[in-house]
Amino acid sequence: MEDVLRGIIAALSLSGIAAMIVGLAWGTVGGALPGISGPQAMALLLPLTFGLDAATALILLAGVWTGANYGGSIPAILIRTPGTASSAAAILDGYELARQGRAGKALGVSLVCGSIGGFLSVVLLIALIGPLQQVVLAFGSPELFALTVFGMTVVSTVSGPSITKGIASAIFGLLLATVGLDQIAGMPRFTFGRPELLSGFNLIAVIIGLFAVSEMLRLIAEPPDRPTQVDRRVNTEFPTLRELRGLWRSTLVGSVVGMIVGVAGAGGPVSSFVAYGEAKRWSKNRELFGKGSMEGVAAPETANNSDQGTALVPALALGIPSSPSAAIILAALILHGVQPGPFLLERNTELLFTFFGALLLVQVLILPVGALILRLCIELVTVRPAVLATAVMVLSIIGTYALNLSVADAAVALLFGVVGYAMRSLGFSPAATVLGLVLGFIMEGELRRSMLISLGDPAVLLARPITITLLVLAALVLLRPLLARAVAALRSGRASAS
Amino acid sequence: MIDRRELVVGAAVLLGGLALIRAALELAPGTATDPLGPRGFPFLLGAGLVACGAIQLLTAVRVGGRTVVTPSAIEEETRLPFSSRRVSGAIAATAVYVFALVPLGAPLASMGYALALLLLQGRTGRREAALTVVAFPVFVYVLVGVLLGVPLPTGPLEPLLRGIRI
Repeated sequence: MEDVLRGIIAALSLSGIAAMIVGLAWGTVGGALPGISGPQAMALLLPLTFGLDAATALILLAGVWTGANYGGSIPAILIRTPGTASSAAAILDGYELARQGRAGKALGVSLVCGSIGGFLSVVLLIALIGPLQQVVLAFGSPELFALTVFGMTVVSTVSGPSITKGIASAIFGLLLATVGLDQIAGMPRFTFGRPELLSGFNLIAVIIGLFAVSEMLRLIAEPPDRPTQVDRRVNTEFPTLRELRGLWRSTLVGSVVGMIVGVAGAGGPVSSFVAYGEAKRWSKNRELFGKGSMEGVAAPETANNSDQGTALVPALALGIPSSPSAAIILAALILHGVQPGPFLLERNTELLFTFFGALLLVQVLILPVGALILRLCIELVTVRPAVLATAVMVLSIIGTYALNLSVADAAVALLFGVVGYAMRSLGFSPAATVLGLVLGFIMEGELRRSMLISLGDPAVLLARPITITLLVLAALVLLRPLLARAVAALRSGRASAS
Repeated sequence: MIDRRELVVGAAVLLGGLALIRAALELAPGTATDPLGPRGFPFLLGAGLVACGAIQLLTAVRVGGRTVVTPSAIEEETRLPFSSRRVSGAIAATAVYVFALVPLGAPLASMGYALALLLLQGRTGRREAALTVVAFPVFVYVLVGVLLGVPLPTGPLEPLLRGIRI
């Protein structure tokens, strides 16, 4: 508790408050712009944090993440176009409310319930991270390797329809992490004789390329229709205490679903739709769902924010990102010389609790910032895709160049932008590649140390109960779709034979 | 029925995996103090890609025959455009921009790049175009170069911009 209070006080410095407000504003605007999701908004800002200290950088990103969660709901409610995938469930009742002239109230419910959900999930994060790290500190290299393999199961949630392509995308990310000087033997690998590749690909440049540049190339190739019918007179109307009391059931359902889904790493889109369905099941007014129910806005919006804190549990306690946004937080730590992993909390207590303090504060600050910035977001929602793509491309290239004043880094961002675009076009997952890239260093290191302990006997990975449990679970999660198809094929074969 | 595009994708992943295994075998082998060595992990990744490629090939061959891939999944995967004049133009313009950044300086190169991208995409209002081509690059320069203090290249505008750095 003392650490949390100290963290809140540290985050309340002048630079901290400024970072929170700027982050929330940028995140809200980014989330509201169709074509920019939360991770993209975070990735675009990442190079600009290079000149900041680690704490301020993390505070800024905490603001962007929280702001983007709300920002995505603005176009979802106003024009039936979700700014982020997590906000898609807000369309179901939010847009109906907007059609009934109650868009302001729907936005207010989204803000307040999202804030409650986010706050609760950060409290859970703070409660879980200490005990979890104590457990992980007792792990040896084989267990840590198995843990990173288990962390790769997140791929199943970000890989789209083809799990095979998702796994291949993650392996590509793991491969990218091997480029440069080998971490144990110190030998160059896959550098093609280029000295600038000895330190590997610049993580931030790759992330910007895969997330931002590739998405903008897609926007240029396939521009969506520009929305023109937007009610510009909408103002945020916060719910009264009485109205909030009427929403307690859906807010609670949204919080619980969001937190569970967040820890499992299934992501915001899953949590918001599951929460919507559960809230409808538990509601006394379920007949109103889909026709403009405030509960139908409260539940998915709470869940959408509730998975934020808990998604950070595996990322910060174990060094395993369970979502693209969590991967960017880990990348920010690496950018500022902080190595994620089991020793993160022990070695960086002050930094992490400042981050937690900021995560709590931004859940409160989003209320005024979100309300004040609504008018700007409404204007930007109607911006032409050509203008958006151009602005983001300029910012991406300048931001990447600014990392090390290096044209090579900007070229890497472009290269991976093209790679990411091709991957998306062919059904591969750039997000899985980023997860692989972030996990690769730890995974290879722990595997090699495990082999050293066992004198090269791979049986060490199967001899310990924790490792075998984690590896079997990982295999089941990753191969579940393939196994299900095989079983279905067998059944249909038997049925046709009989 | 065979999905040719998926077949090519599967073959490419499989061949990529084989190429990676071959490249890994050229790396230093393990030693007593590092049994896996620099080659071990990339070798395993290559094997993983070969497996993914093989599964992808099987999936591509069996599409339409039995319920291996759902029709909605195929639709989702083939919905996006792979190539177009606009996207190749944008990639070319970005490549020129990256390498013109230092000689032309960030403000001028960004303005030229923004103009090129807008022309490529067409259908932009004059006010929006002016804001994107002139005001936005200036805003980015002020944000990154002046407020954040990153010494962005200024090119021929150096005498003009020298005095306004923080």
